[in-house]
Amino acid sequence: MKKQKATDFLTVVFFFGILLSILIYLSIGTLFIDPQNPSKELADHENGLQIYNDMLSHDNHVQSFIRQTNYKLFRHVDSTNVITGRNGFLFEMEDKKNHYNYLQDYVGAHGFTQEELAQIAQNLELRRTVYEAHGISYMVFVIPNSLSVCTNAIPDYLGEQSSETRLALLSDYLTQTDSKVQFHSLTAILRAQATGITPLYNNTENSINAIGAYYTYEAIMAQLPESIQENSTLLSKENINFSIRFTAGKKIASDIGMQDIIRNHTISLTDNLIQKYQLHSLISLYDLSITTANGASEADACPVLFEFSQEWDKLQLMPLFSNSFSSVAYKSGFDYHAYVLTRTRPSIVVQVLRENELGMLLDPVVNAQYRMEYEHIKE
Amino acid sequence: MFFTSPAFAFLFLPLALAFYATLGKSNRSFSILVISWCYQLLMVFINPLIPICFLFLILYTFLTDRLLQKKESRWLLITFCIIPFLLLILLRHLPLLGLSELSYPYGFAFGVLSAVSFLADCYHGQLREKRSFFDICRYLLFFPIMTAGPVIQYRDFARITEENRIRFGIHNLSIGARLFMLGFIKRIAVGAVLMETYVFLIRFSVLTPNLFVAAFGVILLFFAIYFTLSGYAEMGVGIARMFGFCLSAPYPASLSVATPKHYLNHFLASFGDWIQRYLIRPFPILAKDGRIYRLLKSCIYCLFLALFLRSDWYVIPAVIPLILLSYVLGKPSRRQAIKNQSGFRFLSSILSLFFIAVFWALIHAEGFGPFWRYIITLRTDNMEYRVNLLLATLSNLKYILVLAIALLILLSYSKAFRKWLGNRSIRVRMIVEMLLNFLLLALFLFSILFFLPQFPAYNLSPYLHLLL
Repeated sequence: MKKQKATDFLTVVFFFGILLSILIYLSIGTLFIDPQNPSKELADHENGLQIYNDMLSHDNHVQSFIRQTNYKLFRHVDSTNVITGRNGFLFEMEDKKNHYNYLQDYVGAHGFTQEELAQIAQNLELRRTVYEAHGISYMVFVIPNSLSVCTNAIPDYLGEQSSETRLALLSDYLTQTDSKVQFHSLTAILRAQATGITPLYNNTENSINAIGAYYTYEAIMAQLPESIQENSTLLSKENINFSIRFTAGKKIASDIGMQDIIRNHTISLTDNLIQKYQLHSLISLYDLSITTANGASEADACPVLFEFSQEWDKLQLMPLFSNSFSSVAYKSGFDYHAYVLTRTRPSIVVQVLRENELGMLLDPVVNAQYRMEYEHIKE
Repeated sequence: MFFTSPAFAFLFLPLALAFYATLGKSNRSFSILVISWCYQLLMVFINPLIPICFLFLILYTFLTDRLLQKKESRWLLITFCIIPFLLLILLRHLPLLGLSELSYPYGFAFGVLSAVSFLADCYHGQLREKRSFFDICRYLLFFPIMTAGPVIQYRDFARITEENRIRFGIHNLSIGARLFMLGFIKRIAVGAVLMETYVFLIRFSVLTPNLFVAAFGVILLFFAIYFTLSGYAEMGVGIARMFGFCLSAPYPASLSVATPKHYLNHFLASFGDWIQRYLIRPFPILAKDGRIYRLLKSCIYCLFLALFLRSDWYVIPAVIPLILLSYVLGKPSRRQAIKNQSGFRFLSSILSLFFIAVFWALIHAEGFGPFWRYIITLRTDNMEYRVNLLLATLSNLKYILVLAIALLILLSYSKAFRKWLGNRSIRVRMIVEMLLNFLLLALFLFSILFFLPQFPAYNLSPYLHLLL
């Protein structure tokens, strides 16, 4: 009987302890709500009872607790656009800007149609022809999605990647049609290097880190014509110092408000590599810049003009290429500008884009620029 | 101000209990009435119609009772009992009347059941001395049973709330707190999560219809509704117990039912009893066991349930399969087989639960139209992507926790567990009880901090899709 009473007493004490603790917490929150900066939803409420009711839902500490519990305990993030992978990896499902669905492409349900493949091949051939008319070689490199490379971070239920992804279909199509365009997918190379514990991609963004950038650099350098390779120095990975640390979560984590909970495993280059060359921003309109090293002048011809679809990839690869050539030109975007070629006088144009941006190769505006130049050359 | 809203759980309930304890032993009935009025007044902030409708219902019941005392007429009683139901239907269709700014006053359906119960019990000469305005107010405003029952007939309520039967003390507080916590966990940590998952599945499968997903969704909905309703009912019983009122705990046997009628008998604790007492028993002809009468009784039971949940025309075709099954299983030989043959009972249970689940899905989908559209658009293309998308969303260990909680709750109700516990020594029983108590407290706290803030919609409308 005494034991029963003790159990009853303890239950009542703990039960009311919980209720009263939250009563005090919410009452303080309701009384001291910042009138200058209330949460939008709370400010919309007309009466105190509703504010009190919704205080718990809008409390920053509670929200943070929910997000942390969701991720750390339940391995899940509260977003329908994000897949939670292993080793702290997050994968986006859809890239609305590029009208691209990562998951659909992964399972082979988002491939290009035959018409689209033919159109892309035609566009690439047009670009190659235009550059060839100027005596310039042309190459395209595609950096794969993190979902295509980081196989050890992909959740089990996804299974293996389909062989009918956009990139695989395009590569196959160009090979089968004996296209003269030098089109290189870096999937196999990066996937082969991704078996170790050091990641090649940022775990909270679909982008390569400095190690991934190094393997991309190495793959691009290996594909450049011999004449260009002879006048360059291939950097060795062993001679490069990488800085490894955890920083706030990048784009995907930030989009779901979890940048403080899901940290990014950041790997970057140290300053000693960056200090060995000079950067000259030439034409801001075209976002053209040149780097020079070993006493070269910015007026000298640049053997290679790199064009990047993403500023991040340019920043990652610039220190590596700039230390390999005495003079290199970099441009953002794939627009055709005759002046850029006149100014940099490259032997080769290398376009670097991401797997999720393959749709850019169908961009009618850019293709019209090449078409106009082609018509101009014909005349 | 519904039971899971912070304003009720963390403000109203502790303050009401403090007031109740302070006012003393001799004023329990008066105190509970004051608290019930306060509850109604605070409902103004949620929906101004709620207190207005209840005030109207009290006055209506009081005046009708006076009238029936003066002029005893069976037909008058039937007419006066139908009027509150007509008002209920009217309130459920306010937007059709151009009053879209007003929303349905949740809890009114239980008020209508109570009012009819009061009028009928008083008319039939029971509890003649307990029919003052004070008694009507106390019964119709008794807030613990206003959200999801249990449905209590007036004669039982009058007995339970007699001053000498009210036991306000640490033991009842403890039992009440446990029931409240259990109900809270069932409603918020299990019911709400299952309903959220169901809504996601339906939204997902409307875009890409899939039979497997639909079947899984129907099962989810059945359990979501089970945990939601029994959670609220358990909280109601728990609250009443904290105030010293010993309502029978609605231990839901609705998962082990063998026929739709069994389900109804356990629905909202005693919904079937209410129908039996006020809709079947007054008509002695229905006591016969012929085919026609059996079909008629099945119709009354099932149609009343459907119209009680939602007063719309589409519930009538939705309830037809349930009526037919109830009729088929109601045959005396089959009733006997259900009782004696475990295999037949199992088959009957599976069939009943399946039809009940489909009924809930039809109620939720608001008719056959969405179902038909769904079936004619069934596709199998792009299956891998759809399955992956589903898995990506459902690959959440939260569901494992929810499943574990649900199983634990169901286990604690099971006869086998109770039998096992009953055969242990007092010491073991105390330890198990203590452990369960701490687990309950921990889950309650976790539900408040993790699950409750994710479902603010339930602060304003406890069911979202049902109009109780």
